[in-house]
Amino acid sequence: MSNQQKYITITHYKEREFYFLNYAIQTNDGFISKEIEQFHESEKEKFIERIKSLQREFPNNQVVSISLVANQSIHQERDRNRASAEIFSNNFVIQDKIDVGSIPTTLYFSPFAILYQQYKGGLTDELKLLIGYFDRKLFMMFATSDKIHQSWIIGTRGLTEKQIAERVYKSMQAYYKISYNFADHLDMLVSDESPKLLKVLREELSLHIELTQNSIHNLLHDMASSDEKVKNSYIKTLKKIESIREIAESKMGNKQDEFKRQHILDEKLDDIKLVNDEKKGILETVKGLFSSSPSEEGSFMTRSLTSTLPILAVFAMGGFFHLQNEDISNKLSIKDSQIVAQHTNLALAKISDNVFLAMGKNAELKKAILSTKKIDIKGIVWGIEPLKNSLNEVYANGKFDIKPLENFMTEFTFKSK
Amino acid sequence: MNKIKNISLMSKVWFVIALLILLLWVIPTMVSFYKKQKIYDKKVQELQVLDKREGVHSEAKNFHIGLFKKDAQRYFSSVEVNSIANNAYEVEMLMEKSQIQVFNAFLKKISLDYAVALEDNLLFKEVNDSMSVKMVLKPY
Repeated sequence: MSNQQKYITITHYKEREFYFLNYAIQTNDGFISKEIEQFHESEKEKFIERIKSLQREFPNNQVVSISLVANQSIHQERDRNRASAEIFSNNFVIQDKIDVGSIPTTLYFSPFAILYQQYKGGLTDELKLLIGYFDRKLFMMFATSDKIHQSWIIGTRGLTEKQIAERVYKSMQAYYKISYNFADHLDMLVSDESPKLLKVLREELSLHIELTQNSIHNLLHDMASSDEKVKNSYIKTLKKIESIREIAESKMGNKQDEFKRQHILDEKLDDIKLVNDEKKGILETVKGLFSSSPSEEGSFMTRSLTSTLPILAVFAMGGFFHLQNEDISNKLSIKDSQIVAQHTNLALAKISDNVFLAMGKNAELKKAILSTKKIDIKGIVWGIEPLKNSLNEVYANGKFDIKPLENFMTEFTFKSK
Repeated sequence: MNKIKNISLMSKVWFVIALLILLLWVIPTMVSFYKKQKIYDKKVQELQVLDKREGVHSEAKNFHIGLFKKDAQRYFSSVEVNSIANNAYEVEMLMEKSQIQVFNAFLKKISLDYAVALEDNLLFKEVNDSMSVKMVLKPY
């Protein structure tokens, strides 16, 4: 069988500053695992290139990884806004988002899903505590055959084995307080051998503990070996693993159909691949910046709406102040005009008042032009000197003239300078 | 910090745009509004000082010939208002010579009662022992 027909599972995960990579050939009798490769985080590009080269070498593949984040938990309902994986019937493991970055990944499992797959055969009506110890974290869940009741994750970094055991016991006590049910059985799955922890746990909890030790790679190869387990992945796939094999096998030996078979495989795999960097052009890269991963499509509309909320709020606030600003500008302009007009009116009223007061009983007005800049008045005068003095008091150095009239009256004119 | 990292790029882009709009448009508009609001309050106070009316002080109404005439006729025997060029009105009022003080008081409140400015020019003329005053009003 050529490489192209083999179904392989490529597994990877990051622990501390290292990426660990492995691949296994899946057969009907189980998987045949190859050597584990290790890359420092500074060699990330090399690590990704290695995955891609394996994908090129074995087109019929799944790239499998494990989510080791601490914010995942088990719920009774699926959360469409977050990444979720169905563990069984009404139990879903949920975390905020799938964050595998640029590392190709087609299946992504929670330690809770792995734990369930490992121990589901042994679950009964009695409450059992299942613990997975991965990446210095304890993934704990209380389960019976029909339900996962509660989950917890405890970080153990910097703690002694005794402190870890105490925390496990406290979790059991805490669960007893909410459910009045105590787990009398404990199954533990560890990725690294830790005999001391097991010893302390046994002493501290006084429980019989079934321990299984297996590497994360082997657990992941196992999870990707059948459809039944694959559906526990955070990354949803419609593709049937068996059908890939069938397609590949049915086309075997027919060299003329080689290209077609390759095309079918690629199409089938494309819909479950998170990232296909090989064929990514600049346009796709830019488009990728503005798109979501397939697993997040369900919540795309919600997230789009949510992400545009700040800009809508800013526009609403800006619009409000813009209108208020326009309004106050208009009001201010009206007030300015009113103040200027009122100043003029008051000045004119004062001038009018002064002129008529100055004339008093010494003269009678016939015609006058009054403005704030100058005055020009004409009338009949009876007391020439008093009128002249009064007007000069108001408008110093004004031009005062008199003219005798035929009817023995005297006309006066006064112009301000 | 992790939460910020987990926010999608699209959301981050929207957030940056929103922040830019906030800094470049919203905040300057807001500052301008509050500055103008302060100036407006000062102007209102300034006008209150200039307001010599007695009783209830109402806001200036838009100028309307009929309304103005009716108002002025309460004080003067004859009031004529004619529309002239440049959206202005020529007003001629006839009064007893003894009513000059009433006219001066009327002058002091025209621009407080109506949104009009008086042209800086009054023409007084004796007509049959009465006094005619002509002036030009321009709404603003």
